Amino acid sequence: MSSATRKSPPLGSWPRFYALTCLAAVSYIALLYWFTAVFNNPGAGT
Amino acid sequence: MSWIDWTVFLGFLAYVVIDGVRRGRGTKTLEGYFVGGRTITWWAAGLSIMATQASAITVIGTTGQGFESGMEFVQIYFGLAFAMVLLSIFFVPMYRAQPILTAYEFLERRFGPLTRLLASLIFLVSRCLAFGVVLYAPGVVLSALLGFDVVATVIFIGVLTTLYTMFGGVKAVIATDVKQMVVIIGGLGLVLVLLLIRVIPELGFVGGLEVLGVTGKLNAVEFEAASWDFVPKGVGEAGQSFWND
Repeated sequence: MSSATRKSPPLGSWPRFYALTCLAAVSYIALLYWFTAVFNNPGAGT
Repeated sequence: MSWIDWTVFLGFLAYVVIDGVRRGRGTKTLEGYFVGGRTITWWAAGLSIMATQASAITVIGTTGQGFESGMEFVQIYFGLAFAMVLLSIFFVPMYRAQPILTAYEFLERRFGPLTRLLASLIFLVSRCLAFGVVLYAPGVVLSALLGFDVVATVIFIGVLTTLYTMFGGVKAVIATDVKQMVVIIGGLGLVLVLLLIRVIPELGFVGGLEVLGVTGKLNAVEFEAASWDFVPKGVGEAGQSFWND
């Protein structure tokens, strides 16, 4: 394995990086859920 | 298009192709051609995977789909990040532990040559069919922008990408993918900033979200079943309108 592929990822280890990826995905889904729950109201005011 | 647009367009195109071929030129072995001598950095591989998954259809088609029927279709992508993490944990170490160059070699070792043949055939046929659309979508846009014939544009894009892939191998592909992904992410970021600069003074951030909500566009995470037709609400209409266009 080359030195390029052995280089550490951000946060120092792959498990931490995977956890950050999952956290980012969950946060993104939660944000979109909040948008839907709070703002999505088709036809309102018409 | 003005001369500045042409200069940027042609300059970037030439830079991407020439640099890609140059990076892959030193490749003398199969390992260098298929896996870049196993020296590809993780961030370049990651950006290349993103660029491979985000074809022109993603940028052009999903934008239209969002305008037509809202953001409901983004649910399709929710699982991607988790799937990638699982693949990285369970499958990537398995591939890297073996002296193989393609996933099909692994299938042959594990299940035999017929499985390899079948999997290769399914992949090639499905990719060939998909690439028709993948090439056509940017072909339509470029032909409209440049005033060229659609067929000629599709052939131009196809020949260009085939040439640098053939001559440069995976290093050329990754080098071009990284540059394109940087431009795509930068372009989308710029569009978002310009959009917010124009919308926020008029409506405010919350006001903009309310307008989107009233028009039914903020339907990314809905739990109510729209019907019992086994087709998610909106997907049929949006898919039909996109494919017809």
